[in-house]
Amino acid sequence: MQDKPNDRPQAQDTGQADVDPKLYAVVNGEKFPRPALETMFAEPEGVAGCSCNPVVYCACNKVRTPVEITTPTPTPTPTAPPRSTFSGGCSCVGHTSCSCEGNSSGGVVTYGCQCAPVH
Amino acid sequence: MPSQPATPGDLFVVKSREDRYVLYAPLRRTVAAVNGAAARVVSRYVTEGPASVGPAGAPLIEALEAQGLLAAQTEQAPVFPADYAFNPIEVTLFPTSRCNLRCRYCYADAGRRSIEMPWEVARAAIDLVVTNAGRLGSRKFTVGFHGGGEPTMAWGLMRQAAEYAHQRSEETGLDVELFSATNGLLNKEQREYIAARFSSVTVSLDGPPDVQNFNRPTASGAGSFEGVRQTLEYFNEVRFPFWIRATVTASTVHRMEEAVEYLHAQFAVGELHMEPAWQCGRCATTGEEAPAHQDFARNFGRARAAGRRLGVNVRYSGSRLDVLTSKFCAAPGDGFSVLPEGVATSCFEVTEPDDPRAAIFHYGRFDPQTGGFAFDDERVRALRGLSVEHLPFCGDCFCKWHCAGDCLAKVFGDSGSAEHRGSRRCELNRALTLGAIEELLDAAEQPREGRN
Repeated sequence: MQDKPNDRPQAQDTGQADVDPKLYAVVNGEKFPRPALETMFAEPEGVAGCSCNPVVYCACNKVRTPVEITTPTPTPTPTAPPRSTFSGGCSCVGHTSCSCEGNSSGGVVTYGCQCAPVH
Repeated sequence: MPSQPATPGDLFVVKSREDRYVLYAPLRRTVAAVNGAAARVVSRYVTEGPASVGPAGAPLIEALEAQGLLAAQTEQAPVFPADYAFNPIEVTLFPTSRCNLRCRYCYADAGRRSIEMPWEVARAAIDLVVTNAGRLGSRKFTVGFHGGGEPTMAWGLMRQAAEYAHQRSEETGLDVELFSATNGLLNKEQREYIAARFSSVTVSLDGPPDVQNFNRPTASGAGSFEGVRQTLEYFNEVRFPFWIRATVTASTVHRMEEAVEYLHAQFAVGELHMEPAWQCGRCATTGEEAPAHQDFARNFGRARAAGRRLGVNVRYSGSRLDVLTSKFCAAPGDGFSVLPEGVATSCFEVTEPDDPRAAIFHYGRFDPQTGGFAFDDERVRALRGLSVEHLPFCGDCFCKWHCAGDCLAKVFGDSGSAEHRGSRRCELNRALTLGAIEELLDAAEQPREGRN
């Protein structure tokens, strides 16, 4: 059995001095490896790893949360959603499968990226 | 002096090297390297509030706030929505338990039994994911093949299922993705068919010929390297995408870097997954041992460095800084794999109905009466409760959104229950993930050092 890890900040011994605290380096934003899975839970704008134009959502791991922002079109048949006209611009970090998606909801077509999960 | 307390969220403090600490906020994708005094200031700030920070620490807190590490902002965890419904649009078929290899570390002990998937089971599984894809408005569905045994040993069924998937794709207008795991020991017809009709394959190959032939002999005891070589050379010739999975044992761990160089030179592999063997299945009879964590970590570092040099993406499933997820794999809730008997399982590694872990991962089966699948909703719900945000053991670990609790089949194999008491690989996963973070920080520091 493993010991339960605890990396949370711990209450400090007040006897210890905090003399000369130093910050050596910070890495964030674009320099950090982008998340690859389940990024559809991020904000629709600037979804990590996806850049369909227009980007409206990113559906990974087979769950989709489309955001309706495009113009209404006729409702497609249930088994044949409209093909996206945006064929490039998607990239799932660490996985080979990513494509721009067309989706319909209430007669509204939306587009985004779909990244398949890694097993 | 900051007047508002930060919202710490998932902020972790990890000792890195002598008087050097890593402050890591995974959901903010932000990490900082600080000295011990700074780590104490931040810990005090988080646990006791801003008033605890003296004048010496105030500039540090302000800097970390400016960089987003301590800023009060909403963190969005990569967890499934509460109303997520189980509607798989991807199925992995396990066509057979037969295998033409006798790999020394095989978790499934493949080849011990001989069970074939009936066609009705494969067809029903494909129909289900096609229907779900249409219902969900997805543009595609996915059909994969895996084992248990070697899927191409049931070639008739595999080909029939692949053709059926293409047929359903044409009927519905949905795209289909076909993938397979294979040991690569394919005949000419199989190679050509897979290259023509599949999207990609994963080929198991452990390295140079002597390593491969020792670890992965055929059922008759012959070497398997030559057959796999012919397959990969054909795939390269026709530019068919594949990636390689190599299993590392105690006796081959010191050859990981060599394996990267060899597989790059021979097959121009672009992605190589290197996984430590797990003490289970056939290991019990062959005596094959998993590598020590320190050995694997050290040699994985060398292998990854060789990969960077050569343009090979070398990966290990327990350390993946570029992945934020609540699930190590699809096992907690949405994986839909079908065993030869028609049993639906969310885990690739629990392939036997008499495995005690079947009570956790097996959640349905093919019903010959209805011609469809019947699922145990209670088990599906229980599986969803195994994603990392529900695992108390992992709650305070800085790796939680990367390894997401590690492989649950292995964890529950150790605990003998559905309780997560840690993975034997925790130490390894934490060390390698911290190492990857340190590489990022070191790279960020280099320009500064260069100016000094």
